[in-house]
Amino acid sequence: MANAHMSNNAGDWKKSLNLPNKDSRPQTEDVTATKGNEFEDYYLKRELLMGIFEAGFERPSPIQEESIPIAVAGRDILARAKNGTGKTAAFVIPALEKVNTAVSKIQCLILVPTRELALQTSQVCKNLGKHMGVHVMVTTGGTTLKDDIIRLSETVHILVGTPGRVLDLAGKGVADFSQAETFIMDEADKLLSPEFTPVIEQLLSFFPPARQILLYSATFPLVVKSFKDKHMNKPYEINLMEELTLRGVTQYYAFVEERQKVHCLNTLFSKLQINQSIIFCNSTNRVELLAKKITDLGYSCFYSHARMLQSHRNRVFHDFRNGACRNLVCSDLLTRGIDIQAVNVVINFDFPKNAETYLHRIGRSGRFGHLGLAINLITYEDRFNLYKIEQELGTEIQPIPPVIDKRLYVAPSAMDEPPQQRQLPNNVRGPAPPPGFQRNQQQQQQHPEQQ
Amino acid sequence: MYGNRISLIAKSQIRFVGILSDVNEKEETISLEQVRSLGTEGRRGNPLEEIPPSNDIYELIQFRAADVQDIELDVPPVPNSVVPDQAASESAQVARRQQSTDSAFRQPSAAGASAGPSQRHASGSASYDSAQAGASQAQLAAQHGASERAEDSDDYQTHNQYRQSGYHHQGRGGYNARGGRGGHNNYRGTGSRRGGYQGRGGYQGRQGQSRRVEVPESDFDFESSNSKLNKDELAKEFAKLKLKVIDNSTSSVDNNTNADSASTPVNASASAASSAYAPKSSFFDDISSEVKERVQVHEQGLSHEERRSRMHAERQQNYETFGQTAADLGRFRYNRYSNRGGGSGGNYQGGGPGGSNWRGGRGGRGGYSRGGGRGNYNNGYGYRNQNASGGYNNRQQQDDTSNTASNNRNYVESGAQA
Repeated sequence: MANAHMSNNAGDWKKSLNLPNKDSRPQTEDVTATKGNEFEDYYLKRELLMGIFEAGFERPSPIQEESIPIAVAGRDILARAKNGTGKTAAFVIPALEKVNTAVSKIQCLILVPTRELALQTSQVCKNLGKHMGVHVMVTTGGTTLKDDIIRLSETVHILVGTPGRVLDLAGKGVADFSQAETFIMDEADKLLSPEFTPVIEQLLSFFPPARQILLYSATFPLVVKSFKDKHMNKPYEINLMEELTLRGVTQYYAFVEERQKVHCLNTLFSKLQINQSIIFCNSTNRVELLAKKITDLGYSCFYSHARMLQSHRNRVFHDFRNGACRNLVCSDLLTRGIDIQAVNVVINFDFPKNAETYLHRIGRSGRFGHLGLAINLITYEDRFNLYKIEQELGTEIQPIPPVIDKRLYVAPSAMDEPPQQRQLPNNVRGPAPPPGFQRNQQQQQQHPEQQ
Repeated sequence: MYGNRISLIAKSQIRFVGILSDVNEKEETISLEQVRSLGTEGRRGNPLEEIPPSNDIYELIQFRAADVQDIELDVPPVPNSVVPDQAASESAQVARRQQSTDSAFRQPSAAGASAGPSQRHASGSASYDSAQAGASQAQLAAQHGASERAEDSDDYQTHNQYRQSGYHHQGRGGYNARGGRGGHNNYRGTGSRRGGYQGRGGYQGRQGQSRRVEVPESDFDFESSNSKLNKDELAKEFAKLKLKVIDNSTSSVDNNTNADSASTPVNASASAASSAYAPKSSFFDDISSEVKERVQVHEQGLSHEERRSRMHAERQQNYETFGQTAADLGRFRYNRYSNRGGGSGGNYQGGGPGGSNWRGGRGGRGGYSRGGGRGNYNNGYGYRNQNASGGYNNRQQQDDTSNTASNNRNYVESGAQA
């Protein structure tokens, strides 16, 4: 299982590594166009290297090559790289490298815009740092503040969270950033949108003046520039994006009438070889309506949106990631950063209104240079948006062909599997509802008479 | 708002156009002046039940909130060509006229729901046409053997509709679980108005009519559908559109660009591609984004009416796509439907509880999901039940007032972080 490049200078510790199975899927140059660096080249702690290799990383991706040495050296960074090309590890590895586990203080803050992303990112920290004895804590809204406060009375080296909750903890003096040297923002442009910026700036005020700021995203609109000028110290700019869209993602559109969308989706389900799919709608209502329709059609799906209880959101995210279900219907809540390698198809059931959203949505497939498909249902009303987004992203969205070549989005090993099967709803029965539920329903039925 | 022309669809599916003269929150009524009835315009889904427009002008009609299904601002009259079978419709109407003169507006109350309409009319007899609204429905339903519809007083929808349309925020919870009409899908897509968003899909099964969004067994024909969109034409059309926009808002475009000299989206009309992102000259991009959209909206400001019309547009779109306007509305119907059919139960336990949904879907084990065979859809809302301790009424209150701390917080936070 050990790789050729590793055996050159392999020490004994490498033999005891517990490496995962290798991913044999083809990859695009979005992640393969490297300089040929090895993780060992960065003189990282051995315990960190062990975590890196055991997580299945073989060599640094282009963004990791650029980012790791500069970040370890302590410089501010402004880094732009495509969706799913290894940005998270590009800042988590240097963050872990810089942590001194002998000091029981928060040394690094990683901010992300959504709760799911916080969970995901903290998991990466824990995985990569598992041999280091590093304490990683995740904190987001939608959970009990008290639990977080209790947790913070113990050692935390790296705090991963969403801005509101972190500010809350910092403002209460519970989270102490006085010795935190590293301030990292993933999906930085989202975090620096007008409604978040004041929170971010307040948070920065809790940090020592000599803190290092690292910003990562696939999109950097001009609004970020003012933050850069105001708060960053001669940031090193990394831009690995000659173009905005991923090479591995083939984009199609289907021109439909609104009322044909469900039919169209049904046909896509029956024809495509979906390993896992994410289906985007433009509102929470539509997420729920579509999820219902999909199950009516006999396919399984989960859904997630911002108006659900956090515990449910987490469960959906967790279970979908573990492959419990093929299809996930969601709003733009999960547009950014979510990394589920098994997703090979993204469907814009509702076409997004802007290029940024489009770009991040379709970046949910084709993770880490793999191949994927983005299919957009376009109505007459969407036609200008289609054109606008194509132009802005400098990409082409083609009409969907009668037959889609599987090689464009299916892993070679899965080429012969059948498409997902419908479950006939007739066979499905569930348990009787609990008393509370029943009662509510009866009340409602009686209500009109009582009036 | 007052003095504006309003288009209102009563639960009887008749559309009235008039000038808004009063909204009485206490009594939950809306009054329109100079009202004209535009008939059902095909919303009933059955040519025999359709009511044609009338040329009479009523001086004042007061609508009870509960009877209003849909309301919106200043809508140009829609031709009644939507009514599919004029002759049939008219003959049916003659029959109806004889039966329904008086009970007219009270019909749904007779059906047992107190929410029956109670329009007062300045000119008594003028009430006639609109009166058919409530009456005819029940009667016709009986005539056509779909007796269930007789008790399908529309209260359910109208309550919700009304609530959603933002007039009425008291969480009255007048949910009539028997309700649900349906039958309009036949006309889907024919007119812009179609009586909007009653979300009737759920009952189809039991009425044996096709009311839901039909999904043909045959494959969707991508090729012929795509042939309707000419992308080359699109470029030209867009260029024209864009030129106009730029003429109108050159100043704001300048504002956006002066921060970084590198990007020059002013030329966007010709070649947006190159200017939105030019990595060689600038690290930053100028692609369209949510933030920009919001800034625009913020600058221009969204009036109450615009907001409303947006909401309305979404409901209409939802109805178009799903035959239903909001999952909230649908869930009870789905419960009912599932009960009867034993059908699609179990398989949709909503994203909420996660994994268990999936299990339910496959084998009907149901797992965490409550309600299994019947109320699946509900369970997606488990959280709502928890928050508001259940029930439609509670939830309604929650929606309207967001008064509990936890709800509030939940929503706000997740909104911000989404």
